[in-house]
Amino acid sequence: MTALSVPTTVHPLLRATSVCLLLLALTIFLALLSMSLGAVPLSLSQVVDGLFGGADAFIINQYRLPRVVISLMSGAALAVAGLLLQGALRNPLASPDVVGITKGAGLGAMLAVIFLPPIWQVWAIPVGVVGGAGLAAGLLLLIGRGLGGGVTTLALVGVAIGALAQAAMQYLMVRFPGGIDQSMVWLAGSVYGSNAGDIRALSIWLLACLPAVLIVSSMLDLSAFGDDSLTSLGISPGLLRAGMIVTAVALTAGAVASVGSIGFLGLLAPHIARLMVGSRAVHLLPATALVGSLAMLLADLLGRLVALPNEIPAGIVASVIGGPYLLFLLLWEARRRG
Amino acid sequence: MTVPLLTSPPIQRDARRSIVVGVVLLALMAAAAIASLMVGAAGLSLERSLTALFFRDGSVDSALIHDVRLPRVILTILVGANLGVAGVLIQTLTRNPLASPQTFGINAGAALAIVICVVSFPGVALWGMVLPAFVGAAGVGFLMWVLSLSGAITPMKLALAGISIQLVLAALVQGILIANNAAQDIVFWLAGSVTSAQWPKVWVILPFTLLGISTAIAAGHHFGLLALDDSTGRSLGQNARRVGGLASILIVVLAGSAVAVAGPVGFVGLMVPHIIRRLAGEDQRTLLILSALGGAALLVAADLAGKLVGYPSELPVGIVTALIGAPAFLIITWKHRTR
Repeated sequence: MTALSVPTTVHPLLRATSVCLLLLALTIFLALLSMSLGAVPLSLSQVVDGLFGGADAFIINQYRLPRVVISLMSGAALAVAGLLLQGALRNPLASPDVVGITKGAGLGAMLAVIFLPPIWQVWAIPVGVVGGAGLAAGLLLLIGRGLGGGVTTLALVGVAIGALAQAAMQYLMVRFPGGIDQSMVWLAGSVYGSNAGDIRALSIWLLACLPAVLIVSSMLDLSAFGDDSLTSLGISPGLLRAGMIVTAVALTAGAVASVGSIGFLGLLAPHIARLMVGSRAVHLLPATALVGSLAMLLADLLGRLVALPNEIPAGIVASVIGGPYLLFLLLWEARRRG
Repeated sequence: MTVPLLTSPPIQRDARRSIVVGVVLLALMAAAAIASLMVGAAGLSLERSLTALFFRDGSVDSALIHDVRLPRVILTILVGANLGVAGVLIQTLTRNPLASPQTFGINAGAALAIVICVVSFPGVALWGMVLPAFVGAAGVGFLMWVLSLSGAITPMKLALAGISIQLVLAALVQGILIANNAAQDIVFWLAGSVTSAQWPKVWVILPFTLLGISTAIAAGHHFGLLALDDSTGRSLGQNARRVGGLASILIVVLAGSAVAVAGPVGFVGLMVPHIIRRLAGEDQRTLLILSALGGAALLVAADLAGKLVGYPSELPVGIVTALIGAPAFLIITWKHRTR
């Protein structure tokens, strides 16, 4: 794991707090800005007014707020999932999409929508997403253990799993053109059309994940020291790693079920957060979640602005921005070693 | 990393084996091609399709074979051969077992350039798509070359870099299509498909295939030079650089023209050279010839499978190659893992 340490002249807690507050302010501003844009442009004051039941409350509450809230929650979930995966696999290249979990979740959702009987349809997507994400993660670990290779090998294995899931999804789309309208969304990853029901579902899911997130991330610092120190502290390294991965999979599944496969966000956010607040988990966790929210909000906003009057799905924007970062990371690692 | 598979000891007994492999591949390709002539929305018997193929009698069957199914089979053979040979060249040139026109983003570069061109000039002719394809392929090729120069980047990392370039370019393509409401027209092509094959597409790719593959085979013994280790390569200096340049041009031409007519078909250029190397040894020239045959056979078979599996609807051939190719990619990663 690349420990990008920060200068210790500023007190870390002070630094982390101020960074988080800054991120929070930026997020709130972007959220308001995002809500002001649309078919009916509103001013920022109209937006704030609408939020508190003013004249434009209907547009805000029915269309724009759900979209923003879903962006914030899914972005945070993917970012924290990336953080946990990077910790668990001790691999700076890990993130839910790079290692194929996101695509596996999408495939699971498609399979469930197509093959589960009609009375199951309400549960089809969540069940499919959790199953698919879990299967992809299991496959990754199984193959990863067999490989025993370095960080790049594991990432490549994930890429292969993702490519397989992608091809299978394309196969299903051609083979069962009837039931794919919903599933198409996962391929691109979009927050378009989010509603209050989505918010309720995702927030319940994330709240259920929260205890696990807090427990495993409190041990994130310890896990960086290596298996021996963990064992000497009476913590099973295998168990901890499994807990981190399961939590990451659960977070990813929640995000993918509501917004689809968003590329590179889970990779990027923990790195940016680490650059800003250092690598202590207490500081890193909130900063990562905030960076993730901010990034998702930004991706959605850019996607709506860049090609007016059409919308580019947030997932595409995230890939275009996040992909080059992976390149940078690879080169930076290479230079550091070489 | 040294790649043991790519060092080439000249082994004589491989010659007979290569001939056997070549004959088998030809037979497979012919069988798949004939089956492909028979299968479609209207199924034809073997006898009927062969009669219609050889005696052009103005019947509906004859027109179907000659105007729809035959050009498709021939196009598939050409695209497969192009990708197979491009795969050998790029693996030899980069000494990277995970290299291929797809994993190094070359296909995606060509596809992006074509999409930009089609969106900007809606009436662009088929021929007009070839030049942008070359430019796009060459652009990404250059980027990968620059990346490979930087520090001690391992083959695995370079492959991961190529794949991330590919993902970014694919996302850009998707974004451009959505922004221009052009998705419907090109979405099938993007999955890698020979469904809309017609003779004009065959004429577009044919010269590049013939010229590209024959040049590659003619220069085949020089490419062995690229597989040598650095110090030996350096002592041969100038020559190695020239051979490398030739290989790069051939990769761009072969992969670019394939993408122009069939879209970014993945994994063929990755899998085929590995399989052929396994079957027939390391000799560069044999490898090139057999990979052309193998790529063609694989793609014709994949196209046939795509027609059969969802009958009567069709699966784009690129999806079939991805379904087979992703596990193959996994196996190759496994075999060449680094610690």
